[in-house]
Amino acid sequence: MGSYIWLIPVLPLVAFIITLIFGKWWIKDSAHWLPVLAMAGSFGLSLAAFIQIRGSAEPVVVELWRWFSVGSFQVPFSLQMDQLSSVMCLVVSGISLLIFIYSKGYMHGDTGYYRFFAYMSLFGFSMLLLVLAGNYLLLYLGWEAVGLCSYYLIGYFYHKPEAAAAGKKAFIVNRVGDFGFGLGVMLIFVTFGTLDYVGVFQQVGVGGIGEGALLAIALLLFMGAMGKSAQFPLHVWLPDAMEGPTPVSALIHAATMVTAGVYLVARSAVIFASVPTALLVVGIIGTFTAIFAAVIGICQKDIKKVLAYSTVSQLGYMFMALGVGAWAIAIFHLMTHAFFKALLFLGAGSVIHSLGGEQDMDKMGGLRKRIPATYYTLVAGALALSGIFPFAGFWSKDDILGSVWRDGQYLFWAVGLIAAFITAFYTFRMIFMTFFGKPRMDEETGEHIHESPWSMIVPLIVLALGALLAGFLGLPGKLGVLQSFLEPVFGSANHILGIHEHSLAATDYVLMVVSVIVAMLGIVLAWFMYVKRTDLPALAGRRLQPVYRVVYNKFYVDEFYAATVVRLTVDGSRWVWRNFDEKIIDGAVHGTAWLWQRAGQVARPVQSGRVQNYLLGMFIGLFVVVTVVVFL
Amino acid sequence: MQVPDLVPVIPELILLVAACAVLLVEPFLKTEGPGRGDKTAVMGIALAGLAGSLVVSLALVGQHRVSFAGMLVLDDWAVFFKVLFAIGAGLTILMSPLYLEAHRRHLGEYYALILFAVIGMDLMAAARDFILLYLALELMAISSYLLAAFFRYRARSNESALKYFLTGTFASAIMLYGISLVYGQSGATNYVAVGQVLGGQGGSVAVLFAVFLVAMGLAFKVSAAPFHMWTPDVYQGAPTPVAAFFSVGPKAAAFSAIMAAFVVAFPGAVKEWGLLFIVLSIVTMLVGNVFALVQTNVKRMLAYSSIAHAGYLLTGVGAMGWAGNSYPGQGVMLYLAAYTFMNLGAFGVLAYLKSQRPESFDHTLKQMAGLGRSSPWAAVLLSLFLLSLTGIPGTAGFIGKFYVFSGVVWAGLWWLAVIGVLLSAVSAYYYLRVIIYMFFREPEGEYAVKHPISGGMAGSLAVSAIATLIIGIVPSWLWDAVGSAFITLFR
Repeated sequence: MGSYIWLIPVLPLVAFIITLIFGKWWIKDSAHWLPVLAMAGSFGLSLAAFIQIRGSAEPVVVELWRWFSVGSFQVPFSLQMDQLSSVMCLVVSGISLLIFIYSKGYMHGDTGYYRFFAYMSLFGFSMLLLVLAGNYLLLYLGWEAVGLCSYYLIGYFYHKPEAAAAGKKAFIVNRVGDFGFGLGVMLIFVTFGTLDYVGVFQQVGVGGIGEGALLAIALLLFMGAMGKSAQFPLHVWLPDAMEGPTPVSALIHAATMVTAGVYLVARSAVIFASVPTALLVVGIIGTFTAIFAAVIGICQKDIKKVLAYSTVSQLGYMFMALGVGAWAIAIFHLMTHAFFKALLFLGAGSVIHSLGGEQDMDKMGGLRKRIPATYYTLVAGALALSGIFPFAGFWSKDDILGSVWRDGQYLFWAVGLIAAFITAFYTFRMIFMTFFGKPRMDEETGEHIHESPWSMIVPLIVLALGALLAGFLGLPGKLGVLQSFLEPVFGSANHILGIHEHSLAATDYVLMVVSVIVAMLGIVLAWFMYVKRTDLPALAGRRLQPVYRVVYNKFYVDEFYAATVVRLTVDGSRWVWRNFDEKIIDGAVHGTAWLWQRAGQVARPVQSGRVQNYLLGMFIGLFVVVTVVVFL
Repeated sequence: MQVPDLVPVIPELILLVAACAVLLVEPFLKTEGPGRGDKTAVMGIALAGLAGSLVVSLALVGQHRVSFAGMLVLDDWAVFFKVLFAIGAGLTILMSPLYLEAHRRHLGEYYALILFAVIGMDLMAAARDFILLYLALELMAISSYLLAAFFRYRARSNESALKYFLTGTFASAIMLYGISLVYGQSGATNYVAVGQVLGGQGGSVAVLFAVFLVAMGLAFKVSAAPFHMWTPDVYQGAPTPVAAFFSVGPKAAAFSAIMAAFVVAFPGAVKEWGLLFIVLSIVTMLVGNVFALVQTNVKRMLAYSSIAHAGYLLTGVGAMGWAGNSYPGQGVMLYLAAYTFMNLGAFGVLAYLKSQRPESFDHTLKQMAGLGRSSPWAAVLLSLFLLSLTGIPGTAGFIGKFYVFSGVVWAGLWWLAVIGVLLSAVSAYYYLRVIIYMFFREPEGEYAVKHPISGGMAGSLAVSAIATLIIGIVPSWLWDAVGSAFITLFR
């Protein structure tokens, strides 16, 4: 297996290079072939690795080369394949493959067709590198690279000022988190003397590392995770990132890249397990984000924004699970979420495509009969997101709530349950506003409504099957295939926390029934408000005007940032620029430059161009050396 | 008469045959007026000769043969440099036709001269005797003088050659004087024999005098200050591909000769010659960088920059002697390999630009403005090479500097490494300035290029660029190769 895992990330990289160089004047409209084939290859290899790694207790580490090494400071380029990496590889390459195929239809006719596929391939490479990295430095490299791709692709429609601004915002907000992550990586090296996972986790397992250092490392790493996975208060970039093309939103900002934070915490499970305080922080942030984003999701009008807040909220669930040490369940939810959220985004994309680019749900309605394939697949995704039996979301969300309950964090559980109710409500609000009721679009758009091409529908169907069936991989308790598959990775972390496999008890069944009932209530309420009594939303909006306005404006977090952090930074920077930068730094730089220039000018006459002078120079050099030799 | 073992010189014999073949075939080629015509045949012969020499050299890896009564050896040390020289010369030849064609001086002897120079360089690296060293150096030097004068109807080219010749002769004289004194002290010219005789009495004034004179003769070839003043004039006046060749080939050959001769022949005086090279390196880095700062002509800037790079390399040589540690020496070898590619590439792009506008292009910064738009490939490639020369991570230049300076630190001379790093930070100013001109300045006139980069020029630049990146990203194999080549010096 060690012989081929390097190909998993490299195939998309090759596709990227070739597409970028030859795309413009040679490959052009068939630019999708190479990326699709490369990603299919990566998926096949991931599958092979997945089969081979089953039951292996030790990770397979392949050192491709040493980048450089001086004494004890080694920078190896090594990949690590274990159960966690293989699940991540399958999710990333599988979803990427489907979305690449979908993009063929969705991006058809766009002027930057080859550019789109080139960057998507680069993203595939970076993300696979991230999940296959064998040490924190390489992980960091992949982490930054996916951030860069995200920035490029959010700003893909660079001629739109909003898109350019959104790209910039994503980049800057992520910098905040990455700053912490970078410090964390340095601290790991200082503390452990190595950056390799194997070495670091071994030392943590043995013990003897200071509690304070571990806590600092865990919190710094989590800071990076909060940025990448859009957790409160660093969540503000993700909704804006919806300015990118819909396949980008589906792949990068729903299914894969934003889950990198979850992966990072799960990968560092041993570190987090050793410091309960850090786990608690993770749990609190996750739980709060889960309900906070869900509430905002209720009032959004843009179909993609609803899904964006829903993603933030679902990522919150994953961190909630990590916060109680349910690592495998967090990864399970990551996987099911990748299926149904990609499905929802692609379905939304299909709706937008059929309406000629309209994203406002106030201008949709009654599309059920017009685009049936999109409708049925999208409903499957909505049922999964709401957590209705037997769809994937039911199993994974229920596993999370169950493990939170078992850990005794009843407050987390209660908040999670309310968030589940809200999730079901806003999800079906979206479905009902889009597909039911009277058409609200203008006539011309109405006439042109068409079902999307096959290249878009087939991925939807495959993902819908995934949204229906993926949950059976992670049945609760001892039945969970995925949980026991991941056991070798999380074994030592579970050992530290004292978590054991459990048998299903009556409470588990009660909890499941409760959460399904709650989800059903959410759907019924949505049906009542958006199908039965369509006057109710407006009425509620009027009655609850102040509350509505606060929620509609996303709790004014952006405004708060603009008035405080951004303002302070801008004003402060300006002051520093005027006083410190211009006077002291520039003064020093210009002074130095002036000094060198001066020195150059003074010395210039020596280089007169006359050979006599050159020979004289050589002779003086000779004379000095000889004098030194003779007299010293 | 006993026939000496000829295996060690097979690569040179191949080159010799190829060079003669070039001269013999050339008269039979059709010409289209003076200095024009299809020279593919002679170019092919020259490239085939270099390729043959390269392949044979590689096939000889791991052997240890002493031949010609100990005058030269075949070991991995020599093989490393033979391969490096063959690659450097090959890349030079690939970039030449376009340039020579544009100046109507496309003559076959050009290729023959380069091959003769390479033979001299090969023998310098393989030499274990001062007499052979001197002969090889002269073979290389005389070919170089002719190459510098290749555009003989141009005053600048003549000036370049004459200056090179006069100063070169002066340096040779100093070196020969040194060699004669070495012989006087030790009664031998063979490195090993000299080392055995002088080993015990390294400190005496007479020996040091001899050692330093030899050092100065070779310091001239690597253009160390204050023996550097010929460099800018010669590089600027010589045809650009020739300048490119000078800046990597003869310089690397001189470094190989310095390291081999001083390590093997003067082990008793390591502290002294180490110190000499350390002092020279500081002066050289200072002079190269300061003068490069004030240049407005890119070609001349590159000439000063090559002096600065010689300075960085000399820190490694000096530290190797001062501390008696092989680590900085390995760094120097790796740096030479990295430097070959990035510097050839940088000069190559200039040669391409000049060939597009032979009359009006004068290599000034002003004329580089707007190149990012008019010829994006040339601008991107030149940026890559300049970034590598600056030492930006991810490029060969970074790895080279990293290993040389970390070797210097290893040898306990951290202050020297600090000077080197600070001065190479200064160098960012004049390298990045070119990039700024190419991408952010509006051109003052129309400087459109006629043809995109193609043919041999494209091949040469592509190989240089790819090698620059590969050495920057995956340097470990080269480091291992350098390590195993270096230790053969001590056998």
